Amino acid sequence: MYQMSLSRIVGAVIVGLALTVSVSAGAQQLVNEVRPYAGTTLNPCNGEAVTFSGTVHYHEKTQVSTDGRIHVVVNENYNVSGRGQRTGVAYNMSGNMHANSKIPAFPISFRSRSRFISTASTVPSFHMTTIFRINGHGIQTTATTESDCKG
Amino acid sequence: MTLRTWILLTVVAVFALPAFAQRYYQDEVITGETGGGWSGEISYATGQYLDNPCTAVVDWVWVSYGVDLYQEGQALATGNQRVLFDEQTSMSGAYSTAGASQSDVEYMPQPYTLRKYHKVNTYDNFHVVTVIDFDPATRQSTVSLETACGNGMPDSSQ
Repeated sequence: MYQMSLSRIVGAVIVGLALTVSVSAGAQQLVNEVRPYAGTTLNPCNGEAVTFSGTVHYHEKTQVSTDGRIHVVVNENYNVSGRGQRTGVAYNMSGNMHANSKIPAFPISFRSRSRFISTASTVPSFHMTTIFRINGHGIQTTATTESDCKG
Repeated sequence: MTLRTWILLTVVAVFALPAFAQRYYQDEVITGETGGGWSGEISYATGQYLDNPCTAVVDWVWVSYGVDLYQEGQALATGNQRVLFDEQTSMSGAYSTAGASQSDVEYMPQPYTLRKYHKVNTYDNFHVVTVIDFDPATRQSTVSLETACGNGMPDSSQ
């Protein structure tokens, strides 16, 4: 009687564990949404602050792969327009960040550098880098910026 | 041994040869100190048989496959490493493709994998995947080739 109960319990535990592993290995998290993207950055080519607003289309899939790592597939499209605080000149920028990566479950960042184009010939364009930070579970958490005057 | 066994062993031997050749190129080290940062490049070339995974028919076809990979890395004050990967892939033969991509990755000193999908010249969704396994401890990448019937996007099956 005791042996039978024990074997049933062991069997149930094994089946439960197997189900847990198969579910977590196959579980997918999907994100497909457009969110606002706005802020202020510096045009380092002329020293003026540029306020910008637009959107990022977040398209992401994360899954625990068979080797236990997180499989992150992200494709982000962003599109913003800005205005120089000193010159009043309009700027435009669009870009894409794509990554298909397998990582242990720790935060990771991918950078995407695009040209922030000035609409006036007298005002220089510059580059803005958008940093997409993905947390250890594969979900995109934040997008921040940095700018440079190279190239 | 029967004739059937001999034929099977011959086929296995023929397919095993490219696998050995591939491993020879995979183990090259790419590193070089340059004032805090580092950079390096590797050329990976192999010939092997590929099957189009989008078709039901098994159609092993010989291709020549090459990858040029440039890496530039930097240790950050946070303890993370920032690495820029510049990859160029080309493949010729009955199946062909060519493409390039860049990734700018910041991660803690743990190994990770980047997968770069390149469309093959077929009418279906056949892609070859340049798989880059990066080890920050050695700053070494190994490159290998996979096939997929998908483009590696979030809504793709593969």
